[in-house]
Amino acid sequence: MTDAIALEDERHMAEPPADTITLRARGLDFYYGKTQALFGVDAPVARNRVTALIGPSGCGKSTLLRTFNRMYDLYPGQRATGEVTLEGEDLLSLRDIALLRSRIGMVFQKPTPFPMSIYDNVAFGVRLYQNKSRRELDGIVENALRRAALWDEVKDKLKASGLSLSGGQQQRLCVARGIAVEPEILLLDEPASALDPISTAKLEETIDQLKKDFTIVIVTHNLAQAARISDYTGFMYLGRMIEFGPTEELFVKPSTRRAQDYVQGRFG
Amino acid sequence: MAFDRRARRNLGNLVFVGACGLATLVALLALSLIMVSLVKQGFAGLNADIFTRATPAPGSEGGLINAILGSLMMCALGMAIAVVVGLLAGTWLAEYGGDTFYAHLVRFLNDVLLSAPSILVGLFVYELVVRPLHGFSGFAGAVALALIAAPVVTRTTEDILRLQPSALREAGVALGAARWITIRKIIWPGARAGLLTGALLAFARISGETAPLLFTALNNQFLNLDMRQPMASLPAVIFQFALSAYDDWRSLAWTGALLIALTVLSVNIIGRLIAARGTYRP
Amino acid sequence: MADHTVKSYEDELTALDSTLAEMGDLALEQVNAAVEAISGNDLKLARRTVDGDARLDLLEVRTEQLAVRLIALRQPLARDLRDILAAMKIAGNLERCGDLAKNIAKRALVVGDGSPPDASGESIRRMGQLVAARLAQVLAAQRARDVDAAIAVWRRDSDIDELYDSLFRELLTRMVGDPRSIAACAHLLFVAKNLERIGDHATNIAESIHYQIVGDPIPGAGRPKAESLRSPPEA
Repeated sequence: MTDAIALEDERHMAEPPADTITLRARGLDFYYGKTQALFGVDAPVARNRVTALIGPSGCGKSTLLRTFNRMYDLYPGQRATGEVTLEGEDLLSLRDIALLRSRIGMVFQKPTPFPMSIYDNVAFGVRLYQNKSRRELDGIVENALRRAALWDEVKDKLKASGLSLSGGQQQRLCVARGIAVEPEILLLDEPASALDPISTAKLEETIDQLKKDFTIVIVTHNLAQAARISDYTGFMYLGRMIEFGPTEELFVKPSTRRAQDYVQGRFG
Repeated sequence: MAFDRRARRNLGNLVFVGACGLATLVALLALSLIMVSLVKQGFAGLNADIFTRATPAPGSEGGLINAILGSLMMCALGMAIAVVVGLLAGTWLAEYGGDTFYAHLVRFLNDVLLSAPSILVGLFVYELVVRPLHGFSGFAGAVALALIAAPVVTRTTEDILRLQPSALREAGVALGAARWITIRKIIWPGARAGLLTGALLAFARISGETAPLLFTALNNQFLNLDMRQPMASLPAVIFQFALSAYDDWRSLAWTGALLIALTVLSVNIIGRLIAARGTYRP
Repeated sequence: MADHTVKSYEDELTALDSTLAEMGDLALEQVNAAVEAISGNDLKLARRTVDGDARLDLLEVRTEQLAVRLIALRQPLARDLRDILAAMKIAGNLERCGDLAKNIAKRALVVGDGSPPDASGESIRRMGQLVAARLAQVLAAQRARDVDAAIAVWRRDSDIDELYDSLFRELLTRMVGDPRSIAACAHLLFVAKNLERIGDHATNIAESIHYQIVGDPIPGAGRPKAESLRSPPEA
C-alpha cells in the first residue's frame, strides 16, 4: 500500500452519539423552483456543541442552514422534502412555524439591527410571545447583552438607536437579540464575514461561551474559524454532505479525498 | 495621430458640456421668470384680508380664506384616503404580491392611473359621486384628489419598501414574528423617511390640481366648511378670477397662485430635509 | 491528488521535501563512513567524517525553519500538516544519527593506531552494515511514501538488538581474556551502543512515516524488543 492510501471516495459520516443529537436532517432534498440544491443531505447536530458547515461557494451550506428554521417559506417556489427533526419533532410539516422560529435563533451575515433602540432590539423577540414586566424585561435584556459581550459598551445608551453602533457591535447586538428568547438552537450564517479581526475574535469568544447553554450551527467559509470554534464539522460539496465528523478528525485526518483536497486548498 | 484624436475628444467633450449647460440655463431661466412674476404680481396683493375674508364680488374687497380652507380640507381628506389606500396597496405589492400575475396587473393599472389625465378623474367622480348624490360637494372633490394621489403613494411606497434589505425581513421572521408584525414594526419604521417623502410628493401634486375639482367641488363664493356642499379651492378660484375682466379679481388670482407655489416649494423642501436624514441604512 | 491552488505553497513543500532527502543521503553516508573508519582503522576517513557532521546540523536547522514558516504562514491541515510534522521529526532523528556517526568516528581517532582490523572490528563492521542497511531501507520508504515498507522496518527492529547483545558478549569475553584490550574494547562497546541507537532512530523514522501517511500511530503499544541483556554476564 503506497501513498494512495484508500481515502473513501463517496462520503463518510462519523455522527455524534445518538443521545446527544438534538437537531437532525435526514435525506433532505431542497429545490429552488425546478433546480435541486440539496441532495439527500444528512446532518446530525449535537446538543450544546458547535457544528460547523463548510464547503466551497454554492455547495448548499447556507441553504441547509435555512431549512432548519423554515426561512425558505418566505419565498414561493422554494421547497424542501425529506426529514428535519428537532428533538424528534418533524419541522418540515409543522403548521405553526412562527412559534417554531422562536425556538430557533438566527444571526445573518450582514448585521441587521432593527430601526429602534438597542433595548427594543433585544426585547423585540421576547415581547412577541412572552408577557414580562418591565423589570423582568430589563433583566432579560441585560443578561442577553452580557452574554453577547456587549453590555459594558452599551449599558449607558440603551435608548440609542441600534444603528448607531459599529459593525462589530451591531452583529453582537443581533446575537443578543437572538439569544434573549433563550432559543434551543442558534443558527449563524457566516456571522463574522463582515467584521474586522478583533470583532471576529470577540464574536468567536462569545460563541465559545454560548456553547454551554445553546446548540450552535455555524456556516463559514473560513476554514481556520471552523477549526477554531467548532466541535463537529460537516463538509458539503455540490449540495451533498460529503464528510461529517469531529472537527479534529476532519482537519487532521480526513477520510474522504474531496474533504482532504478542500481543507488543504487543493481544489482544482 | 494620437494628438489629433485627443484634440477631437476634448472638443467633443467641450461641446457636450456646453450644450448641457445651455439647456440648464434655459430651464433655470424659465423657472425663475415664473417665480419672479409670481412674486411680483402676487406679493402686491398679500395682506391680512387674504386670510380673513372670503372671495368678494367684483369691485368689492375680500380675501381668499374660503379657497384656502377649502383647499386644505379637501387635500387633507384626499390625502387621508390616498395614504391609507396607497400605503396598504404599496405594502401588498412589495411584500406579498411579488411576482404574481395579479401583482403585475395591479402595478400596470397603477401606473396607468398615475399618468391619467386629471380631468378624466374629475369626470369619473362626477358620474360616480356628484350625479347620484345630486350635487357638487367638497367630499367629491376630496375623492377626486384621492384618486390622483393614491397611485403616487402606492408607487413610492412599493419602491421604498423594496429597497429595504431582505435580511431585515428575515431577521424579524427568524425571531418568530408573523409577516405582518415584521412589516408593521420593523419594515415600516425603517422606511419612515421614504414613506413620508412619498406622501409629501403626492400632496404637492394634488395641491395644484384644478380640473378634477371643477367637476366635483365646483366652487363657492362664500366661506363654507360643510363638505357636503360645494367648496371653494385655490385652483378653482384662480381659474375663475384670472380670466376675468376685473383687476382686483386678477390680483387675487396672482396672490392665490403665489400661495400655491410657496406651499409646493416648502413641502418639497421639507420632503428633502426628511429624506436627507435617511431611511434605514445599517 | 491535485496541486495546491497557490503554487508557492506547493513549491515550499517541495523545498522541504528535497532538504529532507539531502539530509537522508548525508546521514547515511556519514554512518557508512563512520563504520568503515572504526572497523578498518582508517584515520583519514574518521577525520573527514567528524568534519562532515557540521553540514548535517545546518540542514536540520534549515528543515526546521522551512517547517515553521509553512506552519505559520500556510496554516496547513490534514495531510499537509502531517507531512510537515513528520519532516520535522525525521530531520531530528537524522541529525541524531549524524551525531552518533560523528561520535563513532571520534572514537576511531582515539582507538585507531593504523593497525589492520581484527575480529572485533569485523563484528562491528557487520553490525554497522546491518544498521546502515536498515537506515537506507527506511529512507527509501520515506521517499516512496511506502507505508508497508516502513512497517517492515519497524517490525525488524529486534534483529539489530540481538546483534548488539551478541557483540556485547563478545567484547566482554575478550576484555576478560585479554586485559590489555580493555581500553580498546571499552570504546568498541560505546560504538556498538551508538549503532544500536542509530537503529532505534531508523525505527522512529518508520513510525513517523506511518503517522504521516495513515494519520494514526502504528497500532500495538511499545516496540518489539529482544530480551534486553541487562543481567551480568556469565563468568
